Amino acid sequence: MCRRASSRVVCSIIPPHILRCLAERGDQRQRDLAFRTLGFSAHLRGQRQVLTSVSFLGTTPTGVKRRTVYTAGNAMSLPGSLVRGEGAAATGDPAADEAYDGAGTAYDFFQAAFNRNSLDDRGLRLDSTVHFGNGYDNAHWNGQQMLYGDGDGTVFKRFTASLDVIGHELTHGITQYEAELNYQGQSGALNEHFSDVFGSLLKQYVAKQTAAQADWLIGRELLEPTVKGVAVRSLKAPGTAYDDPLLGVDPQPDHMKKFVQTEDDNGGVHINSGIPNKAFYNFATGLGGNAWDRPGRIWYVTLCNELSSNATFQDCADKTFKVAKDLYGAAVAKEVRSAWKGVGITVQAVTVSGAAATQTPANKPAAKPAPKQAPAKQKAPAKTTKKAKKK
Amino acid sequence: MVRIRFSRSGGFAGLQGPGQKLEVDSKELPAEKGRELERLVAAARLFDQPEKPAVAAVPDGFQYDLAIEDGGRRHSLRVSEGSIPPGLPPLLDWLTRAAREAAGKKK
Repeated sequence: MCRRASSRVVCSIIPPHILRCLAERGDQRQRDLAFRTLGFSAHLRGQRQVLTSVSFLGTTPTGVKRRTVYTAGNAMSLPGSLVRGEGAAATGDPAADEAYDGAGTAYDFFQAAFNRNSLDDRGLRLDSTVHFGNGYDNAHWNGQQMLYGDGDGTVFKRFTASLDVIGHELTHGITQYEAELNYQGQSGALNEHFSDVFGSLLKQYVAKQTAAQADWLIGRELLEPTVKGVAVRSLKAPGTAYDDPLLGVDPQPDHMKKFVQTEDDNGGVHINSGIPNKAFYNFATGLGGNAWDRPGRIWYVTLCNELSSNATFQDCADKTFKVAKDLYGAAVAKEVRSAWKGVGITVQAVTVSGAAATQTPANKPAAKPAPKQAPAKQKAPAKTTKKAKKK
Repeated sequence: MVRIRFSRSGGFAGLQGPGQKLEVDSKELPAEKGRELERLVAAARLFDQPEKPAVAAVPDGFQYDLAIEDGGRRHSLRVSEGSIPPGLPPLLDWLTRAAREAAGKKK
């Protein structure tokens, strides 16, 4: 492994099958090491399940918010040195305290809005490492924890500065335990989309802003003042967040006719996410009120119960329409249809719960859904749909 | 003497700008810098690396694409943060910084 190198790039050379063996059968030190390395170097579903079954369930009580923040001290060793555990006083280091507070706010938000108990819905401890790398212009979720760089100081500030970035990274963790959207092409862009949506909803929830009041920006606080731009992305107006000599122009499309075919960025996962992002914005503002309420719930239930790992934008449109209809009735579902239409995607199939998919002409009224336990036009009780989970 | 075409994409910000790309020829660099690049390229053993990563990318990790020409030999490869082969990180760091500097000068 060369994760201890002071370089800004990480790697691992121990084969995953050996790490899995160590994770399951090694002594405590070997297990810890194997978990970390597996979490870092592998992103496969089976390995994640190994991690879940042998690591976290044994050590983390459920239903309790538990956070740990480490510092990598500008190296890349993980998790680094512990700087703040759950309940400990503020450290005075803004990066560490923002990571701690942000993870806590995100935990509380998912608990309050969706009755979700952490990333895995089983109380997984939220681990963050700050000061990762030297001038590291990034934050990412490595399969097991959040990592935050300090930024280069010219273009980007520290990546904990925006609460929506923390929400974005944590949502990658939720997606990993739910739809497990493949991080490539359209399913990868949906993975990014859900992270941007819940990152933005977290910020709106804390600021108590309605959909109309929110700025719908991602990473507004990250940019240094010299950058010509307002944020890293905009759900309201994809493609307009920045136009800067060094950063280039915000490459996000806001409509299917501008869909970008590329080999970069795992097939444009941070680019084409602009299309579903705009659809969510259309829906939330069209509906009005708090976006984390009905829109957030529809998207959350879709992520948890409806999408397969290779889902397309079309699948997401169809499923959000279905969930909207199931939870809130035809009028709200019509708003979902209209929101997707605005980005060039026509809701195609209407799946009635418990029945096979029924092809319905795009612009005709959909078939009536089977009676649901949740009455239409009323907020569904938390997690009614969890029980119907397909997985 | 080596010639490299480099791009970094993805990451949380998903930047596509000029600061993420670079074409560099070691013989067109100041002598010491050129030798430094050649040393890093040799240490990275680029010609021994597979074209694509064996495991899926981690969310918001960087993707690096490299095309190299070295004495008539050519190779293209892609590596993703989280599964970068040992030996490559110092070269990728060098290229990342050089791309940023080159774009900063044009600015």
